[in-house]
Amino acid sequence: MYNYNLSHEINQMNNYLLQYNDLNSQNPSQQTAYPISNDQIASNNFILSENKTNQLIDDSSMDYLDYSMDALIEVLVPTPSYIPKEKFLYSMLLCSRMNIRPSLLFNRLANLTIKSILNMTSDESIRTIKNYIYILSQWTRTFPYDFRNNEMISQLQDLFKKLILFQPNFQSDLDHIYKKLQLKLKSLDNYEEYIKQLNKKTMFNLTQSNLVTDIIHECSTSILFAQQLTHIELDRLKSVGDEELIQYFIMKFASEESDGNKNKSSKSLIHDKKLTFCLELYIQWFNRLTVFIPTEIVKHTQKRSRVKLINFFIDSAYQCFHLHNFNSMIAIISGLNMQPVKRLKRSWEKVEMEKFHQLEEYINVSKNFSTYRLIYKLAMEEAEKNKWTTDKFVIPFLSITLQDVYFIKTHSQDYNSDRTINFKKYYSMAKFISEEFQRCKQSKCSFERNDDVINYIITSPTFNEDSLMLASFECEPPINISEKDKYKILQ
Amino acid sequence: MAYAYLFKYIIIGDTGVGKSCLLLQFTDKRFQPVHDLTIGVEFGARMITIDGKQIKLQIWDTAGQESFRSITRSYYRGAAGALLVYDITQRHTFNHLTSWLEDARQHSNSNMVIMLIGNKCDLFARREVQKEEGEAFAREHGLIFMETSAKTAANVEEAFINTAREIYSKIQDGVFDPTNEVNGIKIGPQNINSAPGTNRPNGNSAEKGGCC
Repeated sequence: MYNYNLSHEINQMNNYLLQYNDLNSQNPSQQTAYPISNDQIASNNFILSENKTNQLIDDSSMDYLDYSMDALIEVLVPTPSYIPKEKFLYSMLLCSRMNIRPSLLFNRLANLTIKSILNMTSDESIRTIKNYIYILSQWTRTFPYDFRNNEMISQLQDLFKKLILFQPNFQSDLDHIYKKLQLKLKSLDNYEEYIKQLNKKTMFNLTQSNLVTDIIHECSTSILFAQQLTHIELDRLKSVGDEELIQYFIMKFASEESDGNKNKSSKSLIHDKKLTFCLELYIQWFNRLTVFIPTEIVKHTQKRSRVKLINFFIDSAYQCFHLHNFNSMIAIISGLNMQPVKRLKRSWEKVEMEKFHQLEEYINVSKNFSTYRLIYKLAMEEAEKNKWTTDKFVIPFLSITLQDVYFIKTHSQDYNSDRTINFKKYYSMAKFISEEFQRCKQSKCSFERNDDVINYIITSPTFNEDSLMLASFECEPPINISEKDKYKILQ
Repeated sequence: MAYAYLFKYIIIGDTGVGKSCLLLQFTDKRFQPVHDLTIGVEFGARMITIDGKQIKLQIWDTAGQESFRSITRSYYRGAAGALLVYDITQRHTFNHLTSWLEDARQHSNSNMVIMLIGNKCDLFARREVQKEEGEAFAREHGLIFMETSAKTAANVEEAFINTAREIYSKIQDGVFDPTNEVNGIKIGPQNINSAPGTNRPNGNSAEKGGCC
């Protein structure tokens, strides 16, 4: 079937291998970033090869508990009859970035795979490369943003060229993978451009008098408002890469981690730079909605209008609750709870407090937000039961999801006492992110998109904290000494 | 475990100042298998003894949520004590104290005890904020102050226990009403004076144990 001269092939692969080794040796720093001793590599290789020959590898979560990073990478390497199981692959690709740069992992995997086929028959090597291509397709599909990195994409391009040279039949598969990857990266570019335009528009709005209108004027019912919030949430949620949840803390807490060695450049050797900021944009959106709520309320000098708006937002929070859009729901409650609104006693007198207090339970922090976690869990079960069909979605409260990721990250160690990787941590992190975050990204909603309303929500100017407080004092004058002092300072 | 009082704390401050590390050092819960996070359980708890009384500290860690200021604020309600943490090796974390403090004062009950903590004092070679500056800030704003190291455990016990002692004396003075849970204080399920073996002459000793 394959008209290949075997020795030619092997020569060819040898050349690639040499080039890969060159690449490695050109970057000695990458080697030093890797804290595993040679002894460990040797012993783990032994264990691993034994496992391989006996075909005993089973990806139950208790496996790979005493593997060094090198041994774990070996588990990724395909053979003619072996592909790492999806659970292992996902955990490894997602979490190994805590300990090794994705671009270095990519390089090592390529190296090892190519090296492994040197002693194989033509048929075996073809089957191995086919399995390898499967791994690459999983990587590019699940973590496309990794390939925003120049080093990664050029490695991928080089590798594809070589694989096609090796076996032209692979061309269409590889083209397909590459095209799909490009599409994902392109849609990321588009999303970023969209956000940029929005920010521009918000800046422009600042110069206009946008204070004459309000959300009720733009959007007559709380249901419509909740639905449009859901569209905004889904746009933002879906663009966030799973790996961003980990990268976010790697970058944010870098100084804490490099404890004792403040050499900032050493950090960048362990971690590829975060080039995608969809998670940050999503956090920004939450904070924007939180401030949007009080802005809408305190810009009205008439008490009647303020009461109407407070009631409107309470109803909207309930609508979000029913839709299982928990992120917007909690942003609205938090917004209503901000001091500039909270202190407006005369406005609140006319509000059904019982209704609001029920909502407030969802931001009760006790038992680590157990009230919220309960409704979230029920919603997830329902979505699961309905196989995430349209309108059976869940939009989780982002702050809690992030806190949990951080918890897993800090409350267990990266390495075991013998410097092997704590793979249990990889599994629990991967399980958490795939079940509590990735699943939610498949959410779909059927309600119509109303761009006028969406534009109003995301581009109308919001007050900063001082302006909110000042506006609040204009609504209802300061009542005690500390408020009076505050008012004086703000004026 | 039975206790005379339960005090609720919150730990606040910039990202990366070592909030979780302080808590983990104090509760000795690092690297222990955790319960299913998604159920929602309190995890930062420890028993201490003050004036011969068993006191349970329940500590809320805001780490990981710093970018959600409106959410960290919801922790203030119902906290009797706050540990406001900065990193002595990072000047900007000290500069942000005013904004954290303002937040805390605005959203908590006025009697909340605030302990200012300059963490990472083991890294004296990289110190950017002098101890005197921390002391001056604390004096100016009426806070208790301490430098700690979550890494070497220096002063970690003291920070948590001294805060508790301050709360305890406010209860004794009638400033804090322990029957109102809104203040972050709860009276234990039984009067602990009678609990055997817990009467210690100096209120200094702390006992580990007592989980969520």
